[in-house]
Amino acid sequence: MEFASPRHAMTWLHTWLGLIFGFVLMVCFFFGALSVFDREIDRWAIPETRFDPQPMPSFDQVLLPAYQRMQPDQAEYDRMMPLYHDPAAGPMTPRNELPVDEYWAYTTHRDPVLQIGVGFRVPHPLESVGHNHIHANTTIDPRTGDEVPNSALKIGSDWFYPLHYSLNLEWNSVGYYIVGLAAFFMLVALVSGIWMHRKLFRELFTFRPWKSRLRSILDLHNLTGVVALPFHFFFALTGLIIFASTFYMPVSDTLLKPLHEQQEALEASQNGLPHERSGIPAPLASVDAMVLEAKRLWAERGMAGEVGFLMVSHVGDANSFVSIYRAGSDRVALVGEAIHFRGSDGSLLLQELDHPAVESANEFLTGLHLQHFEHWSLRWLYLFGGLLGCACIATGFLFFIEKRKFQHAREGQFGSRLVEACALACVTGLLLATLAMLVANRLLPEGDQRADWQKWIFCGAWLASLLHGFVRANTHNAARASAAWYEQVWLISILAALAVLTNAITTGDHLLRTLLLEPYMAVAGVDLVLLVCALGATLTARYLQRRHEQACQRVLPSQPASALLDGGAA
Amino acid sequence: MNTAFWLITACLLMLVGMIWLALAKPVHWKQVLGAQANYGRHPVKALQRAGAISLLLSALACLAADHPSMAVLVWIMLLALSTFITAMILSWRPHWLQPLITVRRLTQS
Amino acid sequence: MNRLWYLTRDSISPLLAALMGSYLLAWGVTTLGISALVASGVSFHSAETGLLLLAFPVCLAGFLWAFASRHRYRLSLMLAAVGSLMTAAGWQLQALILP
Repeated sequence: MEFASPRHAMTWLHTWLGLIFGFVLMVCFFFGALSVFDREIDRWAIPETRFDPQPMPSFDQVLLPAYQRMQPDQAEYDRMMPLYHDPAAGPMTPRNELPVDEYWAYTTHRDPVLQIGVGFRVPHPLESVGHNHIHANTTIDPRTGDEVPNSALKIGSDWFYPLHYSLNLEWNSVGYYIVGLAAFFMLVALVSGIWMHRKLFRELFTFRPWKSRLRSILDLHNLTGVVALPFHFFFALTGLIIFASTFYMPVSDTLLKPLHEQQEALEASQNGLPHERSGIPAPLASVDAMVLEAKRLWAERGMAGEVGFLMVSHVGDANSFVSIYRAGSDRVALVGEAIHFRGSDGSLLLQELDHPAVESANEFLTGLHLQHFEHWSLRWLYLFGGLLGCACIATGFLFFIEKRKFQHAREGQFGSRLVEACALACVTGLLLATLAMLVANRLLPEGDQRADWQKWIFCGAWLASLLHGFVRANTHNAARASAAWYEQVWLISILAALAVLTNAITTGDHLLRTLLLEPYMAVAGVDLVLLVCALGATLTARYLQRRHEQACQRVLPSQPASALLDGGAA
Repeated sequence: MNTAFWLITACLLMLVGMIWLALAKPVHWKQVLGAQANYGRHPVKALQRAGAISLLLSALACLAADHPSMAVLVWIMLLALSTFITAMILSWRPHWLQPLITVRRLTQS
Repeated sequence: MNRLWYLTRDSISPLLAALMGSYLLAWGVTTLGISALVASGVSFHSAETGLLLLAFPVCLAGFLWAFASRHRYRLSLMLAAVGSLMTAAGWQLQALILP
């Protein structure tokens, strides 16, 4: 394949990479956009957790007893223990006898419930320098310390959120690599798109719905792509950067691992935070006192704040230290201004005041993607940006189909209809799967399998949408779009309304109550968005159905496709 | 309360600025004014300058509302939102924008 | 079968070549960059963070350049070679720094 000019090469890249990876990118953008409100979707999905966000609770009274009840995860133990344990030192330590090495807790200004975790140490590790931990993670009610039952699936933060960066394909982390490749090709598509689009600024505000269908689709594609160009570019790039050291560019875990470990130990000896356990047992002093001291120190520097992240390293050892991070609610960086105390007596070890510029830059870039800050307008703007991304990809698909459908119909090729069926699954199918999951969440009975059933219903609805697209694909009539479009959009409007209704019936939190009587914006917000979605889908479905019926009247299916081309092109 | 005030100001300034920038382009100027566009001069430079200043002021309003690191993000996202809104008004309801031009003309004369 | 062959020859292999070349280049820049910065006294984490911020723009530029070039395979190979050399150099530098 030879290209006449670099511009042709760019067009080729944009078309084909955009088409193939567009399906993945659609998932990333749509569920990424939903993740902006992941905590709110969690509240909607788990009615028992519908109460106000809580600050970090008392460590001594609430967290420590909760930690002491936790046991290493069975599945992780089975998988990792044989890899970590040195068989020469004797038999493996049983799961519930593993000693504790670290505690952590993380919360944001939007969390009523608290995520906590324990890292258990492997007593006889194969590699002594590595971070040999078997974990236990859970979510507790910070008011009482009671565990939130595991069967309650956090649809927002444990399903939609990981879906947008790992596709929830756990096997060999393959989902992360697919998304990484798609994100890289998103960057390629953006640069090549700008290269192709010569009138970037002249046509910045241009959308001409009255022109030909092909032209207006292209206008919309350019508009949605260009107006949020910095957003699209930086979200794809920062997504890559967030996982760079773990997955995409693991230089310091592979090739430079010796240097990494040597420098880490050196740094620990310089800043006074012990890198290793000493082997001398020591009790843990009151962490609450350390938290008070940390808050006093922050206030002294004119940045009073709450605790966002708390971690105790080397638990039970003389080298134990407690790290307290300030919640970055008013900053872009997630957490910061760490203050470290000696665990055994609570004396101050280290205050991390100033970061090197490059690390601040990194915190800004990852923080702008992970957005744990408190800024509701920006959150809505992000949702808008994400949906613009979806619109851009979807119009890209439509342009691809529209451009080729007459030729394909004439030549008896199936290509554009295949793309149409896949595009259906990636546009309306995503919405259908999401809504079906929400409705299922409200209707499924209590039980251990509840979480799994919700996931299966999500996947089932998605697959059904794809199959429906294939069944309804019409190869013989190039002029009209698949009837599956308006049928699925009708279904979307029904399911969205049903979700609001079932929430009102099963929990009693109808909009009147969540908006006026006992305001609870997290649930009210999800309900309102669902209602807007239902309304928008109804209008769209009516428009699409009308257009489809007009196309059917204009073009009788009994005629050969080639005879219809002139009528359809108008 | 203060934050909300500055954010709303930033939104409005950004939207107005974007509309002026759009009107500096002959196509959109004609779209809004219709046949009237043929009478009188099209003040391209003035519109561009007004738009740029409005965008700048909106950046200042963002800075007044938030920590600078956050203000940058808000400004960039507002840029996207108002460009999109401007394009949508221009294609569906261009006549809504006539008052904005009148204001410009008054200040000019 | 014929179509599959054309698809591989005309589409998949140039894409893969450009991707491999640019990825190896980014890998080399990161490896050599980190070890060189650490050797000159920068902390490991700052060096790693900085280079990982740079890695993907480098990869992107390499990919587009290699793919759009008339001598696609030659350029991809060259990028891969440069990347491998830089990786080897970074590896050697690490051996020098470590006691």
